Amino acid sequence: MNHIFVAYSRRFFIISTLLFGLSAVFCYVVDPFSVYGRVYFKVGKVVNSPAFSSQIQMGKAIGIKQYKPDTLILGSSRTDSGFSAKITQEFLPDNKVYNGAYPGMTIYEVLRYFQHANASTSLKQVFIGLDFFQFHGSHRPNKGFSEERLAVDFNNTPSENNLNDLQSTLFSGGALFYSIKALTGLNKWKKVYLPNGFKTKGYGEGWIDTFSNSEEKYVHRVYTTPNFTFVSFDKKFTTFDYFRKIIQLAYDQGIVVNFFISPSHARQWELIKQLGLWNKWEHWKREMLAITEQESRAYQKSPFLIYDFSTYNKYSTEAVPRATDTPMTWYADSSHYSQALGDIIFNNMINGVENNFGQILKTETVGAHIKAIRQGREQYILEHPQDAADIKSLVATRL
Amino acid sequence: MLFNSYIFIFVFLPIVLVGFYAIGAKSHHRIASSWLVAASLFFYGWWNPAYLSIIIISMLFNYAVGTALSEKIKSKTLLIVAIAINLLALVYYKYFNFFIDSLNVLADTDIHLEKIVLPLAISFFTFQQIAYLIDTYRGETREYNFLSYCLFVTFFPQLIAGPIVHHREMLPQFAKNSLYKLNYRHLVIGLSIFTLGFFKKAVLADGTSEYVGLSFSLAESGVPLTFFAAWASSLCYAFQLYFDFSGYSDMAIGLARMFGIVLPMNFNSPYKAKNITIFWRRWHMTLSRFLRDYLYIPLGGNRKGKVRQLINLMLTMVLGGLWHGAGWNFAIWGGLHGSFLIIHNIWQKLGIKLPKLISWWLTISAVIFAWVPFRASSLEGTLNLWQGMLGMNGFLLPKWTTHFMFGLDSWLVAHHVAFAGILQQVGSVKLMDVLWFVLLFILTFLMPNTQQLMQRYRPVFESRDQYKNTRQILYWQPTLLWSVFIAFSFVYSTLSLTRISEFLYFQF
Repeated sequence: MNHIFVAYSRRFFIISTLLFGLSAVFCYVVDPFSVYGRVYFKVGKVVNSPAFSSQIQMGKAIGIKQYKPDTLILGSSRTDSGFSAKITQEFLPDNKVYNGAYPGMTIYEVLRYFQHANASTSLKQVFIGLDFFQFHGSHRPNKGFSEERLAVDFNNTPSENNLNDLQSTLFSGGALFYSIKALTGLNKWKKVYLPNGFKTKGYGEGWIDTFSNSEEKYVHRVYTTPNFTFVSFDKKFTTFDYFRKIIQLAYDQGIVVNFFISPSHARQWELIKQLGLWNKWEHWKREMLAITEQESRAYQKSPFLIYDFSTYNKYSTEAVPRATDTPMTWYADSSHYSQALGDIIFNNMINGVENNFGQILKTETVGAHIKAIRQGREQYILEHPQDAADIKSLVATRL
Repeated sequence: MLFNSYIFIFVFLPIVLVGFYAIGAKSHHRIASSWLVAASLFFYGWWNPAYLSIIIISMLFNYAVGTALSEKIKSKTLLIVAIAINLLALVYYKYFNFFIDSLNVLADTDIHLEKIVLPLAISFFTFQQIAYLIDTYRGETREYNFLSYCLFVTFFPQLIAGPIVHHREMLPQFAKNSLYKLNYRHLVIGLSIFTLGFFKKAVLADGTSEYVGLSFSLAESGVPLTFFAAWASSLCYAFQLYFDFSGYSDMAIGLARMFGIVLPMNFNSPYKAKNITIFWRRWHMTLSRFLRDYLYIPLGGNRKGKVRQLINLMLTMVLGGLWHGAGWNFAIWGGLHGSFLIIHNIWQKLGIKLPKLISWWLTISAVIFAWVPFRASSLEGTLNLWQGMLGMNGFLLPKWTTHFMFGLDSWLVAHHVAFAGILQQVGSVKLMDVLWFVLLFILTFLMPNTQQLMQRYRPVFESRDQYKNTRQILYWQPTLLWSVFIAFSFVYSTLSLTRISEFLYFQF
C-alpha cells in the first residue's frame, strides 16, 4: 500500500519541478515585460513589449537602470503621455533622455524614482511634471510601486532587493499569462512604449464623453478619497516635505531640476473650484515656490524654476466638442494634454516662454499671477456656461 | 512567515520536515519533539522575536498551574486566579487600546497612551490553555510531560489562526511512537489537503480581494453604492472570507498531517446551511465548540429557562464577535448573529417549516448582510453599504435592459433607477468577472468540501459521519490523475503568489 503513496509523492515532485522550470524558462525567453532585454517591433520602431504598461512601475524602474539616462522626466500620466520622443531630438539633442513618468505617480513616488535614478546613473537634469492631485497625501503609492526594487531607500541608503521582481517576472501567473499572450499575439498594443520610456502616442482626441468619464474619477476618487489633505499617508510628513527632499537631493548632487505645472484643460480647474479646493490649489503653488526659494537660500544657489502652465489660455480653454466630428487639437480629456501641446511646453521651457504660456513663478509676481488666473476663470465661465454647468452638476452628485 | 510565502513553502517547511523525520528515524523522539517546538517558536518569532517571551511565559505559567491542579491542589480559587491572569493578559494586549479609545469617545476624555501592539495568535493560545486548565480542574486530563504540552500549544500549523485544538485531541497524538517515522501516506494526504487549501487562499480568495477592496473603500469614502453593487460587494467578500479562512484551515490541517497529526475540522460548507444554527455548527467550528463548552454552557446554556437561554445566546455571540477583534464593528456583527440565532430559536418553537431553498436563501442573505460590519472599517461605510443593500441608494441596471422595459423606463428613472451599467460605480462588468463569479458560486454551493473530497483517508479528527455526503461521486485517491491535478494546483497557486497578501484572520 505504501508504494502507491511513494509513487504519488514522486510524481508530484517531478511534475511540480518540471512545471516551475518550464514556466521560468518560458517567461525569460518571451520576456513579456521587456525587463530582460527583449524588444519588439511596431510601426517600424524598436519598442517595449505590449505588456510593458501592465507592469509599468517595474518596467520604468528597471528601464532607468538599463538605459542610464543623463536627463530624466518624471510625473503622472499627463507627463507620461504628453511628450513624444521627438522632444529629445528637437530640444535635448545632446542628452540621453528617459521618460520615467507613469500614471498616478504621486509626489512621494516622484521623489523615490528620482532617488533611484540618481543612485543608478549619472544625472545632469530632471524635468518634473507637477499635478495638484499628486500632493493629496491620502493617496498611498500606486499598487505596482515597490520600495524594494529601487536602488536606495527613502534615506538614500543602498537597499535594492530584486527577489520580488524575479518572482513576478519568472515565477508568477501574471508573467506566464502575459508570456502566453505575447507568444500567441493576443497582447493588444494599447499603449506602446519605446525603450527610452516615451509613449508613441497620447490618449487620443477628446470630446465631451472622454471629458465626463475622466472628470467622474476626479470627483469621486482622485481629489476626494477622503478629503484632500497635504498630510502624507504615513502621517509623519506632508507631501511638501517630499517636494523639498527632491530639491535638496538635486542641490546635493549638482542636478538641475525644472518643475512644470501641467496644462490641464480649464474644466479640470473648474472641478477644483467646484469641489471647494481652489484655495488649496493656490496655496499649493505658493508653498512650492516658497520651498524652492528657501532651499536656494540655504544652498546659496539659484532657485529651481517652476513653470506654471495651469492657466487660462488659448490651449486650456479649447472648446470641448459635443460630438466626435470636430477633433480637439490639444486635449484628450480634461486631465491629459496632447503631445502637440507637450512639444510647446518643452519649447517654452528650453527656448524661453512664448505667449505667456508657462510663466515662471516668482515671489514678487506670484500674487498678480494668481489673481490673473482667478480673472481667467471668471472669463471662462462667462464664455463657456455649458462646461461650467456640466462640472457643477457633476460635483453636485457627490455633495 | 506566512503559509502562502516562498520562504515558508520552499525553505522552512522542507527543513523542518527533513529534520523531524531524520531525528525521529534514529529513535530520538524527545529530540525530534524539541526540534518541532524550536521550529514552531522560530516560526512564531519570525514576525516579532519580542513576542516569544509572551508565549513562553504563558506556557510555563499554565503548565505549572495545570500540574498543581492535577496533582496537589484541587483549588477552585487557583483555577479562577489562573483564568483571570490569562484573560487579563488577553484584555491588556487586545482590548486596552479599544477601551481607551471608546472611553475617549463616550466620556469625551482625551487619554493618549502608547499603542499596545497585539501579539500574534494570543487569542488562540490563551483559549486553548484556558480549556486545558478547566479540564484539568475537572479531572478530565491525564498527566502530560512538559515537552508534549509545549508542542500542544506551539505546534506551528495551528499556532497562528487555528483550528483551535483541544488537548484531548492533540496530546495523545504527540505521545505515539509511530509519529516519528516517515509515513508517505500521511505525507501525501497532508500535501494534497495543503494544496487544496493553498489553491483556495492564493487563487480564489486573493483573486477576489481586489474587487472587494475597491468597492468597500468606495463605500467608506462616501460613494453611495447602489443595490446591485452593494450586494455584489458583500457577496464577493463572503466568498473571499470563506476561501481565505477555510483555505487557511485546510493548509493548517494538511501541514499537521505531514507530521502525522490529525487536526479537527474547522469548516464544513457553512454557506450550504439551511438555517443559522446549522451555519454556526459549520463555520469556524473549533471556535463555536470552545464558545459553547466554555462560555455558553457555563453561563447556564438552555438549562435555566427560555429567556435566560436567549440572553446566553446573545452574550456568547457578542463576546464571540469581540474575540475576533477589539472594535464595535465586531460587537455589531456578533450582536446580529445573536439576534439571528434568537429569531431562529423562536421560529423553531412556532413550528413553521419553510421550503429548503427559501430557508437557505434567508440564511445566506442574513450571513452576507452581517459580513458588512465585519469588513468595513467604519460605521459610516457599514451604514452606506446596508443602505445600498436595502435599495435606499437607488438601482442601476444595464443599459441594454431599456429595450425590454416597454415604456416603463421613464417611470423607473423617476423612482431611483438609472440605466448606466449594473456595477458602473465600481467598474464595468467583463465576461471574465462573470465567469469568475460563477466559478466561486459553483465551488461554494455545489461542490464537495475538502474533507468530503478526502473522506476515505480520515482528513480530520472527527468521524466521517459528521461530514460525509452520501450523494457525492468525486473523491480524492492516490492515483496518477489526482497527483497531476494536485501538482498543477500547487504550481498554479505558487505562481499566483506574486504579491504576498496577509491572511484576513491574522488580525484576530
